[in-house]
Amino acid sequence: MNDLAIETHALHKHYGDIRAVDGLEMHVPRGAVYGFLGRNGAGKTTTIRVLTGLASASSGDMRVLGLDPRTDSVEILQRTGLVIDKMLIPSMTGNDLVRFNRGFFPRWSDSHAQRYAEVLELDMKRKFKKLSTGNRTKLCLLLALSQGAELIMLDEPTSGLDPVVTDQLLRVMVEDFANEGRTLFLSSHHLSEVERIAEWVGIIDHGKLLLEGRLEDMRANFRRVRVVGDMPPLAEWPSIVSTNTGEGTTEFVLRSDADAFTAQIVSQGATVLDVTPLNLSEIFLEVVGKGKTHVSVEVLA
Amino acid sequence: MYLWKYWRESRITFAVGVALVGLLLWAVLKIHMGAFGPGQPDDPSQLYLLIATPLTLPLGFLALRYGSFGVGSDLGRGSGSFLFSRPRSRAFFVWNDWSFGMAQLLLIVVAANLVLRLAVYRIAADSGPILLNGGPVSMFSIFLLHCAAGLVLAGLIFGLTYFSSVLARGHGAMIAIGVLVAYSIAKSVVKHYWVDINLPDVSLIEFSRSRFGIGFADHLGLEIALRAAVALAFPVAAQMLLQQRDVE
Repeated sequence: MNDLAIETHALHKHYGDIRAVDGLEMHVPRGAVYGFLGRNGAGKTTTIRVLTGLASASSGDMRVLGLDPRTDSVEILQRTGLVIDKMLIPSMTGNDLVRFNRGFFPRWSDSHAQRYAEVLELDMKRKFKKLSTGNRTKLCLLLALSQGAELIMLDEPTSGLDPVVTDQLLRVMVEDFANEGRTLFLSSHHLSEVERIAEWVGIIDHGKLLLEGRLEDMRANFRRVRVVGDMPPLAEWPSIVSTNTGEGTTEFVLRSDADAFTAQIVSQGATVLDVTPLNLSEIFLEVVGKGKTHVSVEVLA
Repeated sequence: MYLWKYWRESRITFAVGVALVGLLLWAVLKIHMGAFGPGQPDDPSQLYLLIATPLTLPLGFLALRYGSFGVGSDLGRGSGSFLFSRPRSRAFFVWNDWSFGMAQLLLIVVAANLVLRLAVYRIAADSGPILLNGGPVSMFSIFLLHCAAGLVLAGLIFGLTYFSSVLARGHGAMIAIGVLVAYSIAKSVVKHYWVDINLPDVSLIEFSRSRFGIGFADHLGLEIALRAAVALAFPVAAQMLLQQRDVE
């Protein structure tokens, strides 16, 4: 069995001239909590649609749970819980939706559904169209989590939710799902939430995966280096993510090899003011090009 | 389980449909029984035709409503991604919608014709077989003909509306009405300028007329088969469209 839950190679999805997904190379390990990060319109939702067979790929290869979504979408959907548009059947109550969903999934668990309804404080007798945005999202998650899936794909699961509900959801997802060795793939641009639960992170922008790796490795390797003095030519240094020149100082963000880099520039006469680690939010901003000078970042690991 | 969803959506229409057809049958029978008078049938075949013709309207309305349910309405209200992320093929959803909708329409058509048949029988019990084109035809044959004609009519409108709903992500009824009106106008225009050319009628009137020798169309079986094939082409086209298209 392949040890990847999701794998894509040179995946493209074009809408006319728009390249929503542009040569995506992604590797999601089985059993991981994977945060799929990107700005609005970066291609996150389109990627999920293509991976689940809701949209067709323009070209490229992909595997979800070892299966090809182009030919095996029914089997993939049987083993995957998906929350994407957060729009269910408006005239049905939560209980109706449970009844409706149950018939599609052989591993459906009524006891899980009941428990999630209690934990998330959901009124299961209320029609979907009468639920608030937060409760709609909760109900979508309840259905996805109760179907006994090996893989859960959630698109912006916490958008529109207040902090208390967000906290409830994250707890449920990690405690009841990820800890059981199943794969949790969630797209988001709420970095602090992803940072709380994700082990792996992929950053997508303009349809391309700019960075992928263990969050732990990213935190350990990404460094901001502030330097004063004459700067040697550094354009060739492979791990520079961005360069920002200010008044007498130059700031580098490196994705790895910060020690070798500082040794190099010190040996060439520059003075290093400080070397600081980056949190996920800072890494994200640098990688998607918010630094002054952006250099393409390769995939980690 | 999916049929349960379809039934939830369509059950009010079904109840309204049954009530509407029943009410119309009662009203029409009341009028025509007065006109012909019990025990004095002028012509039972004419009576059947006169009573069956007004049924076209509620049947067409019901077919429009049924065509608006299912996949098309889910695409229109944004629950298409939820529906199509259930582990079934897109063909499964289309053919379940179509089969269940047609089954309900079949029930209504057969029930209405049964009532009609009984009413005509009461009025013209001793009139015997009807002479059509020089030969006798039983009332049972006319009953079957009307059931088939009603079902084909309902199937055409239902299929057209269903396909339009999938094509336009909801709003199928409006498109179907537009197509039907445009076709009626085209039929009238053709008839006006080219007297010999008759575009096929979608309603059951033409079948009745042809069987009663009033109109044309000697090949009744072929006529029904062709219309049935067109009616069946709509869900096939809807399935093909869904399989090609991304779910937004």
